[in-house]
Amino acid sequence: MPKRNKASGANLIRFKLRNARIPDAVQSPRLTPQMVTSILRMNEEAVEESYGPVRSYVKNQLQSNKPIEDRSAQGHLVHGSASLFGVFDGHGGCACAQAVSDRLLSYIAVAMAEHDILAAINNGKLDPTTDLLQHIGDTNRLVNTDLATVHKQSLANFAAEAMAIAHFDGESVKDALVSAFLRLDRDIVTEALPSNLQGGSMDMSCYFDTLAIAFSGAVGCVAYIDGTDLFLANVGDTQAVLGVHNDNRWEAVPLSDTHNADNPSEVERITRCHPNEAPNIIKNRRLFGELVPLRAFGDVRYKWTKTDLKHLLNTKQIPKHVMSVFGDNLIPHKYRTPPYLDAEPEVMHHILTPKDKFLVIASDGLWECLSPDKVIQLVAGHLDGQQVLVNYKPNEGATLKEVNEVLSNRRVSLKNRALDSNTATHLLRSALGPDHGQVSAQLTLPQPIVRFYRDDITITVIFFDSEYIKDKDIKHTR
Amino acid sequence: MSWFPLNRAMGTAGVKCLKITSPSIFSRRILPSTFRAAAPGYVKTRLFSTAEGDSPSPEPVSLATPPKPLPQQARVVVCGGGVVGLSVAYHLAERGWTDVVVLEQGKVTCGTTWHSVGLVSTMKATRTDMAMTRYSADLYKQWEAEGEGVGWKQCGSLNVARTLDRMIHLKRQHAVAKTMGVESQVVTPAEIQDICPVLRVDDLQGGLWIPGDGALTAPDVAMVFSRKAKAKGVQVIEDVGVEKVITENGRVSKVVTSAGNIKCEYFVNSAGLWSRELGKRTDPRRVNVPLHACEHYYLVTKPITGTNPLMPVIRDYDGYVYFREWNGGLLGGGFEPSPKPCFHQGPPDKFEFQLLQEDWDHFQVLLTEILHRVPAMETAEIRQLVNGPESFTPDSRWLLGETAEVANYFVATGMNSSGIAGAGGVGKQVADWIIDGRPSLNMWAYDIRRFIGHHNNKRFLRDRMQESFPATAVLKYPREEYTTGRKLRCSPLHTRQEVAGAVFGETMAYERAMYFKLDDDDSPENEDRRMWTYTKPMWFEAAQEEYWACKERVCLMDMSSFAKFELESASEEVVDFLQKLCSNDIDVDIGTIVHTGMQNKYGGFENDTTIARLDHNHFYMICPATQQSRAWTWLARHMPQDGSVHLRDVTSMFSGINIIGPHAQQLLADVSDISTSRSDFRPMSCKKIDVGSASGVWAMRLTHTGEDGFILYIPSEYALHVYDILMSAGKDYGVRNAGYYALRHLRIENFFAYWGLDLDDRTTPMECGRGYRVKFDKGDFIGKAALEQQRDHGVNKRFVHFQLEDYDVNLDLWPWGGEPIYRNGRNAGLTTTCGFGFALDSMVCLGFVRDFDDKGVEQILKNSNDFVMKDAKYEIDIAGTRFPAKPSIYTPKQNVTYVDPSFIPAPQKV
Repeated sequence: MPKRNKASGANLIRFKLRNARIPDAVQSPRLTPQMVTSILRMNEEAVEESYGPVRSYVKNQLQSNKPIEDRSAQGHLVHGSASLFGVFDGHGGCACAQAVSDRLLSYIAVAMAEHDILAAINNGKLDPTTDLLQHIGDTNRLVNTDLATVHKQSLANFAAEAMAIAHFDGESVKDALVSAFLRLDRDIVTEALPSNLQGGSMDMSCYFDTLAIAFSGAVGCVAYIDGTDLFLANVGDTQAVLGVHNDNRWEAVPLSDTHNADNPSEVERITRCHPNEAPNIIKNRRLFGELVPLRAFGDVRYKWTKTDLKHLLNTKQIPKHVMSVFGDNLIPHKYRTPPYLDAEPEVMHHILTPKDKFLVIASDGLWECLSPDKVIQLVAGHLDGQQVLVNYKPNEGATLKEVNEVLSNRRVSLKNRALDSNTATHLLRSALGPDHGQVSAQLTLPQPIVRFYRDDITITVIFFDSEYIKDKDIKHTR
Repeated sequence: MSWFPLNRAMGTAGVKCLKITSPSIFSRRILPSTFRAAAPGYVKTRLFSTAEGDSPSPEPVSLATPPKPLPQQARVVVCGGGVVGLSVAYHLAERGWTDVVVLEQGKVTCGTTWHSVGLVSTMKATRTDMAMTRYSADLYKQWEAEGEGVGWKQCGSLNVARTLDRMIHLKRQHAVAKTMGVESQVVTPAEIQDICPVLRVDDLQGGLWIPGDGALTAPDVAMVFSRKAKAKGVQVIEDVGVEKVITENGRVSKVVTSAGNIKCEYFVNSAGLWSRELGKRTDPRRVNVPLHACEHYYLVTKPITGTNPLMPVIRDYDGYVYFREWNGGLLGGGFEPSPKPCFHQGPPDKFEFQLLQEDWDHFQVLLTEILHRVPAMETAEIRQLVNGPESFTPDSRWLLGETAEVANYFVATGMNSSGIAGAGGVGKQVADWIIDGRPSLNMWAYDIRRFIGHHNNKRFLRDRMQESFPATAVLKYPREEYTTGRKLRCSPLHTRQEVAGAVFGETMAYERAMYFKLDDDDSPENEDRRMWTYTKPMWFEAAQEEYWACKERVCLMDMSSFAKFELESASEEVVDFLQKLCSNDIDVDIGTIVHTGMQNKYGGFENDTTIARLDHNHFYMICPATQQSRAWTWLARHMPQDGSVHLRDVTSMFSGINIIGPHAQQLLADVSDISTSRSDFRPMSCKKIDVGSASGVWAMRLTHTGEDGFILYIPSEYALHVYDILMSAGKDYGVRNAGYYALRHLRIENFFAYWGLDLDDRTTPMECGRGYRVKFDKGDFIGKAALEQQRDHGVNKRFVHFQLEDYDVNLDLWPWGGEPIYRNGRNAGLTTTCGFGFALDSMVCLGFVRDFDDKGVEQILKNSNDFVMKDAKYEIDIAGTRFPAKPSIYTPKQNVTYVDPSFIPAPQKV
């Protein structure tokens, strides 16, 4: 579901005329199977590195927006044994999602840091952006060095304040996650205030970047995995679902709530904060009739005071065209008691058991195509099919009856053998297709209308090491 | 270690043998180089992954004698030191041809012979199969008795049936076996249990017990062939690969090998897995050897206590599996549906004593069936799962004989996993073929000329493996069509026929409409009627309607698949050429058509053809579709060396439409503006006419069925136009489509013999009632002497038309050809083709009647008419039931009155 529709009518008509002449894209696919496969596999990634309860993870991405507005990030905390996996879904451009994916895991690292580490940061012995977190896999790092300096300074400030006020006590992971999310959002919001430009702390291009970040938005979901503890911090409509294998049946256990108008408690939360404004705030199931998620990073149009927004409009250094990117009405209609939006995450805590086999975190692009149950079934089937990718060799001394039993079981699994070895790619293909014609049609949708058919899709699947969890479990019980 | 003599045969092969200390199921020479030089991606010969198997390799073996230099020339060069190549060499030597060289690129038996299971079964699909395998079995038994040591054990074999149809199949085999004196016995499940107590029998219908069958050690057989051939002077040379076969004037002249050249007269390609690739390396014209490799699995268990070393060989082909005893354990293998073709890009050059990676998941289908039939194997441990490549042909029959492309280039390959059982007979027949110019049995079913170029298409071959590999096990019904590799050659009328409800069959990859579906064929009450069956098939009613339309109205039949040739010369050289080849007189008036045989020197039919004289120096020749390759070869080989006669294969250039029936005359007149009356357009004459707006159509007044009508040979691009014109013009004549089943029934009832089905190269015109087509006074022709001999002194057999009596076409099992004929209680031959005669209202069987003496030797029939008709009572044995049969040597009179439209009086006005 698009967050803001800006496709012009003229484009649409041109497309419709063209479309009227061309053959049905499903019946007459314009891509060959090889082309489809190479497109689907372009962004796939698989890391087969065991780290604590995480056996491996795979991810993949498919764009709908150009450029893609989804981001993802993974990392290990250098101090401690936790892994972090984040999936972020931007809107109104990719700037905010990019910034959040760059910065959020470091903010969490700082929020999780104990006193002496924070002290080392303050002494300049540790660099908070590089020494607390080890990124894994491919990450699109921000290249603008000026902006990086600004971000680094903000993070250092957070570290200083954390040490002074409330450093991590090793217990309240939930609080730490919440504070990291909120702090990052606060930094994004304040870095873009016009005062930064007038105060001279930023040059013009750097300031425009912070503006782009602040006026775009992002939702996201971060999994924090340490031992058998799994925390999921979620803001917006990105979702995480756990695949649980229970008595030969697979069960989908959602670990996040979506923060949009479909969620009555969210709507209630907002209207409670802004009494008497209810009809104005949620229109067409969107915030001010515009924004789908009801919690998000950035999006200062719903956070800044009216004064700040007006001030920005009146700032002479900012050319008009910069602001026009954000629409004609920068200030929403009936904008009375901001902020209407925040980035406070809902955090769920789950103790991993050996039955928990994998976790799927994905942007809403996937969940619009596939239900959580279907996703879990697909991943489970894919896992099953992968088991039989390895040639079977009977054990020495096995009887033929035993061998035949194993082989009969494998026979079922053989049917599950998928075209794609990467589970995320398998999900992606299933979400679009599954037939070649359908996948091809989805991938050849012209740019002006593709957003009406599907959103950006980002999928991260984390596989758990059941043996490790079983081991921990036993120790824990003792 | 094993109870049968390992390696005994190997000692004489010039290589010192080592005791095999690691547990190997194979008796073979161990050459360390073959262990190390495994082709990448394939499993080395080290057969067990046990700790023992990893013990250090034995010391290199030195050759006992230094390699002999390659001879400069030889009469015959055989490529391939497997059991088949060695058998050919042995049999040539037995007949005194000792100037023979066998070349083996690796070591003798190293390709597939070494991993053969070694089953020798004489119970095969046809009489020829049986004759050949029985020859092999007798030879191996004799050797064992002479102390040659081939590991023969006469344990008998037991073929079991899970279904009633399989039981019918076994009974049909039993009936044929009886006529050959092969001992076999139909047994009940209880009897099966007695013969082989380890079998589960509660789901069986019964079986066939063949006590004379056995099993042996395959490589030892090859070694005996090799030793005996060498003793007669044959040279068997190892480590020499054939690089190229050079031909001159379409004849073999020289073999280029890795060790030099050998001039030779004959070349035999017995290269097994490599034979297709070897065929391609023929210079300048490649030889097509259509076969493809496929993975074949069998499992060997560790010893099972209580296993009877003389346990019979079990074939449970409804479960795709077979069993034999092996070293105190059991061996179970099979021919599963959905097999895995391999070596699609050709086998690797080095693949000596090697196996393929085993795929247990793939084997599971067979394993379940194995454990189902022999539950005692459940507790057995695995010794080894063997996955060896073997070569299979498009129709699961061997590839034998001289190739169409090159004279004196023979093949003996494509053994379809029955190399050991076949080797003896195949070697004998191919040796006879080389020496006498023809084999001593009718080999058409195995003749490599039954294929044409397209059959050698690699992808076609790979697709067809899905059917030709399991064909060993899967029950194939009479006339059952293949489903893979179809829709390859389609006539221009194909789509029209498809829309009209045609059900197609395939000959030489050409799609032919067999019949057209009736409206209610797909209705629920016809659901359980079957297309392929031993009883009345579901197409019967449809064929019946088409038959009567041909008899009473007019039908269009697509005859495009017939092989067509044009022969031309500047002046009359082509007449002399054809006069030499044909037994009938073809020097006839222009526009006349002649049916004639082309005889070999023994008088047999090399080809049965219809020749139209288009001009004084121009002939148009029509042959059966299956003859496309063979007829071409026969013509080309006899062509004058001066190039004065031009031969063109115009099969693809012309489409044929057969207009059959009493209304054909008027229908053709309506669309062509010519007079088609019998006086203006005589039967057996041809004219170039216009049909509709299409010109250049050759119309011939004959139908190949005995009914009146015309065949139009139309340049292919006009065929659809002509068809549509005939269809619309024929509306009021009741025109309709007809298929080959109708044609078959018409011609069988009318006693028309067809080449390949009734006639073969061992049948003469005198024997099939066509003596009148042989013109002895026209001058010399090939086979004249042999035919004169028969005319004057009698024939070997006589073609007879039988009508079954006390026979219910709806309930009784059908005859399909190959049923034994009994004359006064004594076997007198087999039927060839059968079909229901709708006008005669009885089942008709055609077949040859022979006079066998007490020893089963064929006697000359001095007066064949009397022998057939006088004091003779006939019975035809269909799967064990004998039906009385009424013989006839002429076309019996049919109770059909023809209404000639011109004599129908106009209705009178009242």
